[in-house]
Amino acid sequence: MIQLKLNYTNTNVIIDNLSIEDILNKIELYKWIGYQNLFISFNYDNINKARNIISMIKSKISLNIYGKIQIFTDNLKDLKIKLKNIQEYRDFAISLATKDINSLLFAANDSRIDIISVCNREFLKEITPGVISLVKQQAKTKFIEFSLISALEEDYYNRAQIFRELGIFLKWAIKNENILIYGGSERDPALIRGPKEIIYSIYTIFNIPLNKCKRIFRENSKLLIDKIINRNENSYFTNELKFINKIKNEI
Amino acid sequence: MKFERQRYVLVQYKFFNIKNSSIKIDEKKIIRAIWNTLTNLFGECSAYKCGLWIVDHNVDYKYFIIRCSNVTKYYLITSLVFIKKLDTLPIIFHTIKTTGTIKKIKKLLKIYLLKWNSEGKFKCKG
Repeated sequence: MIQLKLNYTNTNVIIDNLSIEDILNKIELYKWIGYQNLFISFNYDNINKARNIISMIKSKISLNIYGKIQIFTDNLKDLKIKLKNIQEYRDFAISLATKDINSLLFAANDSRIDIISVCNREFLKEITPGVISLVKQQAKTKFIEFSLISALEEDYYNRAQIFRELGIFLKWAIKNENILIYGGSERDPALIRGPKEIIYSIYTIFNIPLNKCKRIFRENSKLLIDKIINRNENSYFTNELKFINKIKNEI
Repeated sequence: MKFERQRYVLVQYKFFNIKNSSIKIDEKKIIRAIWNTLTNLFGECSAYKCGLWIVDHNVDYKYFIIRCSNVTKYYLITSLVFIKKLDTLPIIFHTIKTTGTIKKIKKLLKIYLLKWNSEGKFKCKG
């Protein structure tokens, strides 16, 4: 019997302030533990070297590596400024992590932002059913990224509190499971956990059906990858938008 | 009395951020750590159903085969996720395969051992 190789994706690999050797070790660890697709997260402020780092990793490790630009912001005005120049990075996924509810509502409607990130506990607290509902209207093109990392970092009653917050969030979001993706966001490599283990832990702790949990890791992230690959083609259309390349040396 | 069906889980582990990569750990410490997290996470009422037993443990290749009941397989894997340290050493567990019989898992293990030998055990440090 031919077994199909399953594709698991982690959409938030953090490599801030790591040397090249450490980055490669970390990516090797992701490979060992069972991931096939990785989104490497870069801060908006230092995206100059992003393409070089991704091509360097691709040359040394046989994994599907993609880039992701993470925007942190406190207010809507700042977000709008940052989004102005984002068209140059069409081959990257764009994600937003914010505590500001106005920015969240704006991001849920704006087609430039692909992912709303609630990986950390502080961001998870701020997300509302309204934002989730808006994202659901654009299911399969816009995603919410969550993580178990804050539960992994804590112990005992703190962990139970985080489980409760995550449980409430998942209860809202899982009604349309097409919007959820998993972003590990493990700064400490010792906290990296495999996709299958995470699937089973979400299933046991939050009582979410197993097929829906698997969908978060496989189908939804594949939709995101397809979107980013298609976006770089000149003939790419969304429902209302068309990306047009800048014409160089026209004048 | 009705027999309960059992599952055999092949688990690989890896110590992280240590200079001495040849460190070896006793299987009693592993099973104690699993019991601790199991009771912390799910309580004693759920933990008693597991019936954990380490069937095989190899310190060179850093794998073990653990037996548990059919129903509590997911509890076991979840508790492996939440084990962060063994004897103050950061550790990562990776479940490779689950089967219903010991014969099947030992057959699979031979294939995996050949694969690990060809890869040079593990590429990562630890």
